[in-house]
Amino acid sequence: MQNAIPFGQPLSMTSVATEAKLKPQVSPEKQTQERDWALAAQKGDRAAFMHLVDAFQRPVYNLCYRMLGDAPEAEDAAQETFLRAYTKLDTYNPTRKFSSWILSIASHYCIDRLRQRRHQTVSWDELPPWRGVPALEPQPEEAALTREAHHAVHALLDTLPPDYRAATILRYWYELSYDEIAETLETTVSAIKSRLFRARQMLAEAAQQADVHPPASR
Amino acid sequence: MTEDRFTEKISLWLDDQLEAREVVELKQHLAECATCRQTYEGMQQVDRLFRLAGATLAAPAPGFTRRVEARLAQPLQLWQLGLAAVALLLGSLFFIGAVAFFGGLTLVNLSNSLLDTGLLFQGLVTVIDSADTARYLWSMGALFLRTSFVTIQQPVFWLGLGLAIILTWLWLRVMQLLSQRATAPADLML
Repeated sequence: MQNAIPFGQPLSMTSVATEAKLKPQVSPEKQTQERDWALAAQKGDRAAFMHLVDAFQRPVYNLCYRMLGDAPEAEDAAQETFLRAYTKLDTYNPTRKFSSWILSIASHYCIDRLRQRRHQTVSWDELPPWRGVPALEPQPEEAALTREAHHAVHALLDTLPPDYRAATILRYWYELSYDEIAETLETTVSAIKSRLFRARQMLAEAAQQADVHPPASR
Repeated sequence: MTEDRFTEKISLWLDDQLEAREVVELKQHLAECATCRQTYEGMQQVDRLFRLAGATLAAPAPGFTRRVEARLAQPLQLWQLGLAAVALLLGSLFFIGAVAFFGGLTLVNLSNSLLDTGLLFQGLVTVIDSADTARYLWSMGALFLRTSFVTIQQPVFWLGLGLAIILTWLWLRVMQLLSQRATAPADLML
């Protein structure tokens, strides 16, 4: 297979993070500050909540965009996520990472929207044209994927059921562990293992059908 | 099937979830099984593609925070909902009170109760004619007390009051669901 890597050498997350350092890591100090904002927001400090919106708008929007596949719909879903978070602040447990909590709200909201859409898993040939393109913030260094490759990734995601799609997005875009994904999606670790396995099977079949390959290694 | 067991492990291997001995076992199997090897290559290709895609986060259009803030600030402050609730409650009580009053009058006539229709009107005339303010106020108070005493003895009054309370609660819940936001956390937690 073109660009195949010998099966003795699967890529690790570390090597990919080195390859394209486009996502900043959150320091412990930053996490503490975010928790403080959340606690202040729980006491009615709206300015503190707006700091949280500033800090998490991109991760939340990204999740909504990858789930829903439509930029305007993702914008609406992201806004709705924050509104729901605001009304549910009293349920936030400070021992939990705020990022995990807000992504949980976003995930469930997007899963519900997809189910309301009565979205059926579709074959590659049935996929509609890509709808709306959000800002993918051009980076100084060369982008890891071309726009066409990003579209191909989204088309592959569209073939997955909502639950599988959410687990896949949380794994690849947020590098969450199995435990963290299970906590975010409010399910068990074994369920997450099963979803990721089935998702990869389905993605591999769809990619083979459409002859999609990753770019050549540099 | 043995192949299913190994293909599931391929997914775990891609996430560095296998122990060393399991990796060795899997590699040995992949060297012998063409089907599993093909499965591995397919999953590995997808895994690489998605890891590269996962390095980039999509961003919303500029001004997102401002838009969220605008939606938070929008409709239905707590005082507006409170005013609506009071209006609904008073209106319900007025209606139920009117029904209870006239119903009470009917019962009074039938049972020769304390509050007789004629006495009621006579009392009102007496109060209106009186030039003494203190006695005026006392008489009015006595009249209302006697009216209330009869009214609260009517089961329909309590039924109406309960209905009004339920309607008010439903009204507030509907407004909360429609707005799905509050001016401060934990507002409207009914």
